[in-house]
Amino acid sequence: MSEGSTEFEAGLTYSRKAESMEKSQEKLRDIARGLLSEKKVDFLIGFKEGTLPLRTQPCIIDSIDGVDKLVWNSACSNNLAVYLADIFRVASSPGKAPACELPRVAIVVKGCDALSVAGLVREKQVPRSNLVIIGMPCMGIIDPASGEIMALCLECRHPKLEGVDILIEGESRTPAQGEHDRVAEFEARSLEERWLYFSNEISKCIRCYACRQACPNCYCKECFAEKTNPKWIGVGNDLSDTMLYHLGRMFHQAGRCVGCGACVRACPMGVDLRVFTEKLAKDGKELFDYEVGFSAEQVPLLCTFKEDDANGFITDPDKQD
Amino acid sequence: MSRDDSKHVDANWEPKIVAFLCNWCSYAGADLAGISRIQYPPNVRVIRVPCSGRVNPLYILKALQEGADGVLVSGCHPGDCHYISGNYLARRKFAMLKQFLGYVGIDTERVQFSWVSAAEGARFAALIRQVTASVRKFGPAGKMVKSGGQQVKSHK
Repeated sequence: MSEGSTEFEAGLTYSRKAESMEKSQEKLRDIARGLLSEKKVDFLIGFKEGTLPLRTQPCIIDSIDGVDKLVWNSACSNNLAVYLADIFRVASSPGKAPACELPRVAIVVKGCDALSVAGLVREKQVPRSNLVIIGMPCMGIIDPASGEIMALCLECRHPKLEGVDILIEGESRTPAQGEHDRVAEFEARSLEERWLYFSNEISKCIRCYACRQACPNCYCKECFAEKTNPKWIGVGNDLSDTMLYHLGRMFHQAGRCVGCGACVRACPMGVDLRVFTEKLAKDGKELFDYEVGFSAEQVPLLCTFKEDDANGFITDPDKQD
Repeated sequence: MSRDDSKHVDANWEPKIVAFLCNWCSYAGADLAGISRIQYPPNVRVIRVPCSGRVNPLYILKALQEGADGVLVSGCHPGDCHYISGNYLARRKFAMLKQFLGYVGIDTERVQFSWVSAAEGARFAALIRQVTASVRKFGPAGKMVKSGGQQVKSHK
């Protein structure tokens, strides 16, 4: 990935991109009008114009009057799947009928967001039959700070969506072929260099938990970070507590993280979380041939096993070193 | 530096190793080692769990934070789990965890996993000897240890 290709994409294809996105936006509004007027959904979660340049905001629309607020452009960064777990929280008590009737929700998704929705359906947090998933063609999200497409979008392997109910036509990115190059580069550094980088990044963290709040997969009713019995993490600013929070949260995402970058965008301190979350994705692929996908039938990485799973890391006193 | 930090190492320092042993196999194997009067290093502190699959990665991280120099998790051999598949699930989890901890810069051989059956008393003793020797090489733990009120470091 070079800076040159980023400028090329942002500059020379801008007019083509803008026209395609305008059309997609109009199609989205038409679909929304149809869904709401025919009462196929109770409300729709999408994006509206933000208050700052190169930003949008999530919005919830429950009547045709609000449809013209909907936008679709390269600033539609949020992963809207984060709202779903709370909306359907009453549905996730096993064996019990929901306390009230569940809403039917339409949701606007990019490739990464659709992976999150599939994950939530897979983990039984959201009933698929109550969702109308509207897939948008994504050319990548622009980072408002730099004005360029975000690095994680350049590495996106899922810009073309599957498993959605309505697929809006338009131009989307070509899937990248990279194999977690940044992780490989980090792995090649020495142990002490890696520890220094990890310590420096984590020491920026102010434990605001914005990363956890922005993540669609972080839907635990009580987060381990806030448990007092047992108290996993102290409340002070001890660096080892902050490290424990991040290691614990990231490992809880092992095999579940879709790499949408919501955590990175939410972080006010610019902590580089992705180099660590991507490592878990890479290991899932290399050790167990597992990659998050669009299918709700896929079994989560750590919920299953094979008899011939990797055994090489086991300490065996019978083997002479 | 092969040591975690520049703390002065006490000449009498002995590694403290926390071992999570599954009740049905590894703990029984450790018990057999004891009954058979097989000598092994006294550095290990045993915590009995019903199954290696019960071990939450947070236990391992917490042990390191509280000053354990090494952590061992030992369960039944694959295929022999008392709960059928607990150790299989543990195997996946720990393969990922061990690589992840090494990746962020924690000495890889501080956290180890093994399979020991209830009949393998001598093997358990050999395992503890091996783990203690490898943890000893790394010196006292410092990286994840909670020091109480440590200032957040300034960053570049």
